Amino acid sequence: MKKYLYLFHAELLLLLAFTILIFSSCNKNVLKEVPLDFLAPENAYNTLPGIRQGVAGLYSQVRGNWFYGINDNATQLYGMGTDVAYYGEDPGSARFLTDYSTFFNPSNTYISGFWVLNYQAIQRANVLIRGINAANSIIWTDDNQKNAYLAEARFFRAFAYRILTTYYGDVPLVDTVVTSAKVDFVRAPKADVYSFMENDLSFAAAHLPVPGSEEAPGRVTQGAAWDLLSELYINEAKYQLAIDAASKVIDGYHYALMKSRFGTRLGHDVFGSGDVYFDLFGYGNQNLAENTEAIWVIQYEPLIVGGSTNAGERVFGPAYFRMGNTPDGFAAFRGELVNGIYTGYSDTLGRPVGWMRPTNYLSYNIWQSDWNNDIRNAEHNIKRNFYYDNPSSAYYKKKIDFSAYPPGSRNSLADTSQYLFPYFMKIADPSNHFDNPAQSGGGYTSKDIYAIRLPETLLLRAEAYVHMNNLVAAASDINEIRRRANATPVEPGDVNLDYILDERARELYGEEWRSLTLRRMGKLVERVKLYNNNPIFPGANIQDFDTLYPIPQNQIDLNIGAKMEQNPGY
Amino acid sequence: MVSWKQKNKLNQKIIIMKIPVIKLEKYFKLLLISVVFISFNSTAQAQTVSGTVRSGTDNQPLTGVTVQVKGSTKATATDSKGHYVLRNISTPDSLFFSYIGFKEETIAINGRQEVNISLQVEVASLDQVVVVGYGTQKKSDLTGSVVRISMDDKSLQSNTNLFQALSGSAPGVNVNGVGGAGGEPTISIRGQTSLSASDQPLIVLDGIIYNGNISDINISDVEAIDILKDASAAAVYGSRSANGVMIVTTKKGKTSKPVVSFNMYYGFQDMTNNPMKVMNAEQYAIRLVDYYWEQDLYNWYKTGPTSDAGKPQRPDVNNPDIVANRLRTQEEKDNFKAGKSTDWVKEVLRPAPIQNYNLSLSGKSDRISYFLSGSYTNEAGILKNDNFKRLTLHTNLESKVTDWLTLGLISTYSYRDQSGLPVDLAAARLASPLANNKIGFSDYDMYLTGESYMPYPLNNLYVTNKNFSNDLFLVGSAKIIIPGVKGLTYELNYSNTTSNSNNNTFYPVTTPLGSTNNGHAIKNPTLRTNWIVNNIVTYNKSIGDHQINATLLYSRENSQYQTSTLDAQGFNNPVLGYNNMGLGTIATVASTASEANGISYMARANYSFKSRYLLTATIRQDGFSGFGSDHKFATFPSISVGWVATDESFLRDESFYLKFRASYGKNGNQGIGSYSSFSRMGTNSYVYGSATAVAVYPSTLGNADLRWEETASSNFGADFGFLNKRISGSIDVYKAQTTNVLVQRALPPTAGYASVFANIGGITNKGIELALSTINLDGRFKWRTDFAFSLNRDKISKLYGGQHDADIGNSWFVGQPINSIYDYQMSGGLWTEKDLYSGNILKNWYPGQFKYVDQNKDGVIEANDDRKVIGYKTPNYRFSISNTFSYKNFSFSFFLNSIQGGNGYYMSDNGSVINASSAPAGYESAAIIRTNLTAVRPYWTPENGVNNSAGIYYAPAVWSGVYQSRSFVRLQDISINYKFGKALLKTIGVESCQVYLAGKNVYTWTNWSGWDPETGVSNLPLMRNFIGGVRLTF
Repeated sequence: MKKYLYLFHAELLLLLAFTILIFSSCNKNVLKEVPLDFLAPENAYNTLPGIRQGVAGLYSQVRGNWFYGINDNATQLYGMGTDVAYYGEDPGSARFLTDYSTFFNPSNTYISGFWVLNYQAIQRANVLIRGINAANSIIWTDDNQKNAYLAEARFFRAFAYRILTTYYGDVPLVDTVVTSAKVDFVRAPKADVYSFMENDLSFAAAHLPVPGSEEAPGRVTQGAAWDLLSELYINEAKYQLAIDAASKVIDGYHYALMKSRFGTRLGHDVFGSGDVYFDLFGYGNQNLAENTEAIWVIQYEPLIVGGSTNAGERVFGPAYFRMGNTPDGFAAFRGELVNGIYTGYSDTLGRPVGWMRPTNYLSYNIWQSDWNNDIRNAEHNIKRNFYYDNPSSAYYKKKIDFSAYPPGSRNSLADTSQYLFPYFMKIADPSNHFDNPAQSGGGYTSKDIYAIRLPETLLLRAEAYVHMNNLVAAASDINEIRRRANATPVEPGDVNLDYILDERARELYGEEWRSLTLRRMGKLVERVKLYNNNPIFPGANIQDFDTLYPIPQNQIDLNIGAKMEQNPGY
Repeated sequence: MVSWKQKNKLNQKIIIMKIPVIKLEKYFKLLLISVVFISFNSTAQAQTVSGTVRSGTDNQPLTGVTVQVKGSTKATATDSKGHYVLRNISTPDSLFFSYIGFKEETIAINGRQEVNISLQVEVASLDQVVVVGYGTQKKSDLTGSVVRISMDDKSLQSNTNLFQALSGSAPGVNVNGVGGAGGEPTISIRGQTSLSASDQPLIVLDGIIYNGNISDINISDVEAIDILKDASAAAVYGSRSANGVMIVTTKKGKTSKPVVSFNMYYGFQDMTNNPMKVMNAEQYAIRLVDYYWEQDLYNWYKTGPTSDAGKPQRPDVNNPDIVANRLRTQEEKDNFKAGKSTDWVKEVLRPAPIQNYNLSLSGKSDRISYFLSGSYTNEAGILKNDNFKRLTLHTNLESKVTDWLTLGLISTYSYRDQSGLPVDLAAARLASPLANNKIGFSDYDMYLTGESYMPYPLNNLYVTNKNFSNDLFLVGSAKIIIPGVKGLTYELNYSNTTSNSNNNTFYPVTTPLGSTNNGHAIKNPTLRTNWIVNNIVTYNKSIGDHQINATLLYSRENSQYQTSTLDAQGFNNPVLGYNNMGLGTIATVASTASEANGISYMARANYSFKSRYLLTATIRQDGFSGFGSDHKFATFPSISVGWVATDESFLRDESFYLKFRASYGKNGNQGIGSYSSFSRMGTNSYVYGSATAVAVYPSTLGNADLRWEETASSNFGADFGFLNKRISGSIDVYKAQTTNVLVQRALPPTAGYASVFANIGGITNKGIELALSTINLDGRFKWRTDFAFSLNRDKISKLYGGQHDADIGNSWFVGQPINSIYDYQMSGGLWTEKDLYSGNILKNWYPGQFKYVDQNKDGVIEANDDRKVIGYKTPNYRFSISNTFSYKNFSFSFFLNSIQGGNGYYMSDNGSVINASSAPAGYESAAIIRTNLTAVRPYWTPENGVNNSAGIYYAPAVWSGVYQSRSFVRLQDISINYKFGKALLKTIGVESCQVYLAGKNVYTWTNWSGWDPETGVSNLPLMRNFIGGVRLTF
């Protein structure tokens, strides 16, 4: 037995002690994770600078998703497939809403963005609202400061619901931060969504800064909130409230239509002529303090971090540079000289690709009565004539006329839908291409974009007056705009909702979200059938149920905790 | 007859009854045997035995052979002259000689004072020693499922990556090949146990968990790879071992005479025999005519015609003016009429050289063993500018400082250089064959035809790129034989992996990414470090026929990662490129950092009785920082038993071997990285006026409840050998149940986040694996065949709790495999005009569109009722066969590898290759008018009778993938080699010399259309190569 006793020798005990020491020396705290390179929702928004960064997050997303981004969502918002535009590059394509019967499909990722991106925005707003409310009160100088930030977050939340409910009808109401894998969303009645938006927007209208006192250019003010509130009240058939809200904007602040020329384009008219309407869309003019028409301006800036670019030119203009040769066989456009090479692109026209081809209704019909006097139809505002630009050709500087080519040598559909069509110059930024000079900007510019401009508020009030049967007041608001445009004033007897839609098209094409306007006014199907002159799919095969978008299939598939009903017809 | 079991019971009864006096001694003996920490010494006469051990092949003395007195811990090792001395041993004993790579021998002393012996080189795999994790075991003593892959067999192949060498090499080891120079294949062991967490096995390099890059390992330095497939084998590595463990052992010095060996090969690579076909100029031009014609045609179909009357006629495609008129740009029209065209796919490809050089020096004295090597690999990809260069230096030193202390140092340095951005095959596939070809001209068009969707496929030739990494892997170890306690050792080892990579790029203004603002420079340095400390205590004991081995482990692990991105644009003077970012006018920076920690404890006991009854029990606890704060730790137990049946007297026969194994155990998976339990904020920027504003927004949803994924698995296996082991192999069946599956779960968009990491449900894997080696001929003409087969079935057993849970959005269904394909089912063929005219067609469907099964027979094909599980992405089974023939100095071998589908398995969507058509909205249909398409099948027109590819204008009511089986059989490796005769070589001082020719991915048989079936629709195609090489040792 003795020989086993060495098991308990001192050396072994020592070793055991040593082993126990190293085994227990570990502190379980080493497993505690400390984020090194990211902030958490719980701590990102508990300081004033943090909250400001959260606010910037709201602006950044709204700009990227909806304002002239090179994506299909933006084209749909601005009126692709409605009464104002069809897909010019390939009108028979299955993409770009040429044909509602195939495009409006629950699996189509080009249309589910309206759902997906807005719920992301709502989550952003909800996290920020929670952060502002939870932040230690010592960071605020007073309640007004805190409420102003809350108001900004709630403005953007309502802004997201505005798109959602217009496109989808009843939608899930997410009013708090989602913190876990939630899969049992149910659609709330549209009326509930409206009253939720009403709360948010009323709070915003009360607590946002007064126009002119906002922290930085491009930040929303009470004016923007009242404008959205006015639209919401019309949707809720609360017309007097809508009129009151619009009047707050029109009469309550410094806002007024610009009546005379101003800004950066004075003395620099690239087309040889100009007017106040042309100036409204000049580079840098949107933010100017003297511009009393801008209510909310989406911010772009060339060549700086966060400045970004928008694809307005690319989306809205004709693809002139693809038209081929002059009748005598030279490239129709020689273009600018960059790095020793002629680019084929004109710096005044940029590089559009002919996505949104204005319908004949927008291009011609609505201008007939005031073709020569309405400044909005002036050649420098709607370019209708294009000229050969190749000194080698005998046709140099001559107006392009397709009848000069031998019969059958051209593709007439492409000639008129893709290569040349009326180009709304308010969207272009002639001779201001900072990026990519070899492609005259490549279709991108850094010009600021109006999200809300005063004429829109005037037309909202006119719309509410029509509903209240006060056509005189409606005509007065409309004529405010028409007089500035040097167009013939409308008689009250001629004012109706369709007239308002025509005036919106004249004044606001490329600014208003036409698809949203037509849906909320219940005018979509009727006007698409009347005016969408897509040469392959006239009327775009629209059906009555297309007033609502289909709920995205992945929402239905993934929402396994509750059944989510599809909209009728899909 | 009373059985052994009954006898034992009887004994126990007696003991219990008669404890008090008489049986006390017996009782005590029994107790002693069952106690673990006891020693047993023989007390016979003492004497000294010495001798020399030599190699049976060349009669050279062997250094470091373990000479052990059988049944005791008394042992020594041979010195540099192969000599050994053992003192104080008893005459009836026998000596046990063991040496890696040689057959073990037991020799009875029989009173002799000198015992000399020649050891024979080991051939039969059953006597292999395999590494099992914090130790080694003889394969015949294993109780778990372990397979050894010797790299010697792979030495004549042109593998640049270790994983590449493993493809098809053992059942249950699944390698998915990739293309590109220096491409890194993915590897998995047995089935898929996880939905979203990592599937990669744990890699252990020379006993240490390896977190470095697999590309850093030079295959020539590797002796063997042991793959632990079942839970018990892997359980010692608890954390992360649910996906199996790959233990890589590098070479060590073996002989006292220094060995210098050199090998090299050189060859060329090209595309495999499954290339992508794109439309030629004529097809490209005419398809536009057909596209617009079919637009009209479908509009007409929608009017509900009942006959051909009024049908739009196809334009005359033989009229060049009509065809040219549909082309998009003037240059395409001009080139079409002039008959000029370019095959852009051909332009981006090249025959690519591959070369490899390797030099090593190794040896061993009685105190030190050393292995030093250096290698250089230069592989060019078949895409122009795709380059891979690697330099490795490797040392493996072990020094026996004193009798009780052994120090080791392993260091591996690797320099990898993948500079140069490969040209763009994707762009080449899309490029218009009618675009102007300005290859080589300085005024090349960075966008073909001036369109940004058609970038010049060779743009990257003008981009300056330097992409390299310096990686260092170091292991220091100290092994101490604890004095006073025989068989007790303590090992401390520390490893450190540091990887520093830099990727610097300058895009000049003449390339798309540099064009927007006068050039664009990006520098992207990253630093990854990882260290592990292991404390290991082992205790070995033999008492008579009982052998005990106990291991205790405490381990700490830490990894850190940091990256920076420096970005500058606006270079008025671009000459300094990325080397002077300060010359740019707009600069931005970004950085990331992360850290993870782990703690592990492990205890293992091996027990064997007469090397015939074997038992291994393990328990391990692991903690990982990436889980929620209350769920950092998990415990993983395992137990396994083995029985060598042929050691029983009633079965004993030298020509026959049979062993049974059974194991059960738990493993974990932590493959989700750091911080997954946190919700995170993202960052970007906005601008107010001209002032930049940093934006912070919620980007990722976290889950504080996140915990270990656990896999409990059982394995039953048998190892066998017949006919003097000329037929040998093993068979394993297993079942694994994974719970708390780590899942990147897609969320309904309303949640505001795309997905969240979660632990949900369960997955069951079961399968069978067979490995068989036969020596068919063993004379002057030798022929050996190795065969491997594996079949795995996985099934989701639980999702959210319900019995019939179906998560359509994630394509997960209880009772179905993980990789189920949930989609519309094609019923074969297309709708025809006849169907339309006769009204025998579903609503909203038209000729030239795929037919789908109307599952609920309501006359409409729609998402909610007509989709179902129509197949699985996982393979049905895999097999491989290798044959080696040798005659005199020649040998020839070929290796066939196969992954098979069938019955709906191994299906994948190949629609983008098969269906040359536009696609419905949401699927980028606009590309049709802008880019080239594939041409593996002609598209449908009403007249051409095509029945398996839709019309070129395609806007069906619903859309699904076009699924095809990826089954293939590949002649993966083939080689022929010649060994020069020793007599001849001796005169020039060369030990051995071998020359060889080899080919890789030589031919593939498959019904998959287009691209290689294994890589699918990848723009880095799999390569084929042929090499010639030489191996020399001095």
